[in-house]
Amino acid sequence: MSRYLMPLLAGLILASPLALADEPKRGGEITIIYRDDFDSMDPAIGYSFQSWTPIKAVFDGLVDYKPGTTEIEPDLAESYEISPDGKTYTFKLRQGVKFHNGRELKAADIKYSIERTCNPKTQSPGASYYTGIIGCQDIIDGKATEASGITTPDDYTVVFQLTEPNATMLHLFALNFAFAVPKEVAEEYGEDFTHHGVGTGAYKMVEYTPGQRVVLERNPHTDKDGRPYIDKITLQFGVEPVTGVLRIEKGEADTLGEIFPPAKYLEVSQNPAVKGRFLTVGQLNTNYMSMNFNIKPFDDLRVRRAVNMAVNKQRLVQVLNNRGTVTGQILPPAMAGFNPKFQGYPYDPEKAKGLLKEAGLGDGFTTELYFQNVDPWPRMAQVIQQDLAAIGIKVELRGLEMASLFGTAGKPDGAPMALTEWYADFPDPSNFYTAILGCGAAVEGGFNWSFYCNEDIDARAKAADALADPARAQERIDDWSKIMIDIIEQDAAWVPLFNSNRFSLRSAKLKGDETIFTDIISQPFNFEAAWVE
Amino acid sequence: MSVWRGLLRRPLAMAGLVIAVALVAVAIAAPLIAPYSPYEQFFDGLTLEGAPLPPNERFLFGTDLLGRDLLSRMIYGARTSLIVGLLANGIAVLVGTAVGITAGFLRGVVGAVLMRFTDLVMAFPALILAITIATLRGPSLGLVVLVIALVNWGPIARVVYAETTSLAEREFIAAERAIGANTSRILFRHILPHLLPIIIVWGTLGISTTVLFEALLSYLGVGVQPPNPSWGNIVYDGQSYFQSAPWLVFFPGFAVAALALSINLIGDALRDLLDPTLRGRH
Repeated sequence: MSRYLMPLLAGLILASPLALADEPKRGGEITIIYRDDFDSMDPAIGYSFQSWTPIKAVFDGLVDYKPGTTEIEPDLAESYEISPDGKTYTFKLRQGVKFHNGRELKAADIKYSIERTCNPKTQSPGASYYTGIIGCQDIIDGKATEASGITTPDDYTVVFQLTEPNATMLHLFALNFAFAVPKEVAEEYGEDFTHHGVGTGAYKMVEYTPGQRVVLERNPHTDKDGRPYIDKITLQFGVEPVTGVLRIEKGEADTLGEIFPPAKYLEVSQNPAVKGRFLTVGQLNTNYMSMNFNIKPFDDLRVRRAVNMAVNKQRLVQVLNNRGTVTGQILPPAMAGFNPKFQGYPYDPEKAKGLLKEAGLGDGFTTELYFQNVDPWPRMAQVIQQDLAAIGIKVELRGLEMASLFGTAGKPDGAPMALTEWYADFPDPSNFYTAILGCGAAVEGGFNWSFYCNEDIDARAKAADALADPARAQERIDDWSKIMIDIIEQDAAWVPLFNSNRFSLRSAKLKGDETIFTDIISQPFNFEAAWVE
Repeated sequence: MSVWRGLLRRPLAMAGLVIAVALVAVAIAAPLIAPYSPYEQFFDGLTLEGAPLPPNERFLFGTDLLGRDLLSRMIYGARTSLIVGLLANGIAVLVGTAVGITAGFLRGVVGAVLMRFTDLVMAFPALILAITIATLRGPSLGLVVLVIALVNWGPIARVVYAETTSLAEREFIAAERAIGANTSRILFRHILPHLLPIIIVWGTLGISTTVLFEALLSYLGVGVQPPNPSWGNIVYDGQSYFQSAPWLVFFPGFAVAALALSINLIGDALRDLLDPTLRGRH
């Protein structure tokens, strides 16, 4: 009952004079808890969900997502224009934007920053995203230091020429890897730029003590309709998430930058004291099990379908305290192109046994399942082991630490089956294909652990991504939706398991619209959009 | 023999002996006494929210995070833990004592070489050693025993070496030599009995840490792999649920403590009975 009453009550409270207390206001400080130091605060390098949002606070890109949504809006750019053939992007920059060191941002900085990401010396994990810009590949290959496809007709105009139209290009400009850095500072510090980051963002990095903390202070020159609000944000390292949750409950810290600890979930979700401050958040995430097409018997479609039907996903999610939603498809519900009508393969061990018999494996077979040796993966593996045993497949479990898992499962004949998950880098269905299901990723060291490569599907995927005309956006999404369903229905390339949820717990003093704390792009939340009471 | 009679006269030692024998019996008879299979994930072994069940009539020790019977898992886990705790530690004590006593008694070049070798082994990071061997040979219980023995014998050898060198200087050893006793008589009749207290202390102290070290090795993919239970990995998996499901840590933790305590009590009594300096007192 209360589920229906609460929004009503909230509406009443908002309408009353008391609502004034809930108005955003400037000032105050907060602490966010992390377990370990960041991989990097350098926008070209940082590629973990922990550093992703802090980098967005310190640096800006040409375009950005509206807080709490997946809508793109101009940021450093004032406006942009896409040529009718979809191959030329022209950005007009806002004038008077200053880096934290006082120098004004010019078009040359945008050009430099993207070339820096392409440059192999930078070792950016995002370099391959920009190979569609003419000249980036030459920089990657060491044949050039500048990209001929990036030009700056004047100080406030930057033009990108693409090799072919790319419907996801604006998302790529909104990624951290394309964020503006000042050349003089980046070159002065080189690899140590992570500890001396200077950007144009809403927050200045005033302190970075490795292993201890990063301190961000509000940039007085930034004013986006009053945002940002909070004066000082301390990112505290070295606190176990379980301890972090206790500190947030006691009001000594304000939110957690890590994944919410599974061990605390039941306790906190049933604690009335944190009601309204503990939120379940959908993410652009799918957990799945790969089945390697190179390893027998997974080259047989019937076997892959049988495995799909043998896994009791409902039980799997129950074991994980319902911290996810069962799925039968590749795309998560929050992603455009998700088909709510498609259920995938039903749980049907009897039918699965029949399929194995048809494949000549009526007596079952023995295989291996690889996974990361951190809770909850071993538990998931054991549930699946029991499910597959029921149809005669004997599964040997291979728990490895992350780097070894990536090494083994990334080998063409490495892992027969592997458990993993994918978080989208940007909110577009193509991001769930190219890196994890495309033919180009079915190589050693890639993330296509099924080593799935269907030339026909690959051609359809390329065609969909070339539909850059905004007027045909819906057509493109529909194409992707069909591609994603065909991959499961016709080829059974994975066993899609569930979409895991994120959990957001915050202190009583940290305020903001609920959409800010359920943001898909920025977790735990967009630093610019929340305030302190 | 008098040792046995001595043990009978010590109630604490007898209690230790009873516990140890009981644990060994449980491990051997696991399939007969375990109420359920240690692997079966009961559909009703978890609440609707997926929380493990506290101890109840059906599951005496409650269930674990996958809805399996904790008591059955502990009964089967006793096998792993006893093998690792007793065997690995036993090997470590034997090797450590042999090396330490030889080096301490002979000294000279042989002693120096042996002790530098001990330093070398001790300086080598245990976990890296374990992972290297596991990568080469594949994970197994034998490997866990081997790794733990390799890691643990060094400190014992050091302590035994130090004690032997000091014993060898004492007057009663000099007297033995003077009356023409041979080396083996000096070693086994005089030096070894004096070393027993330290050896027993190290041997029993090692058991509880060894059981937990086994869990760590399993976690790194070296040792017992899921779903096979061991006391160590049950504690390891359950430790962060201490507040919401304390039985996951309490029961296996108690079992480890009971094992260590029982061995300690027996060891303590044996030391009293065998220590020549205490003989005939009390």
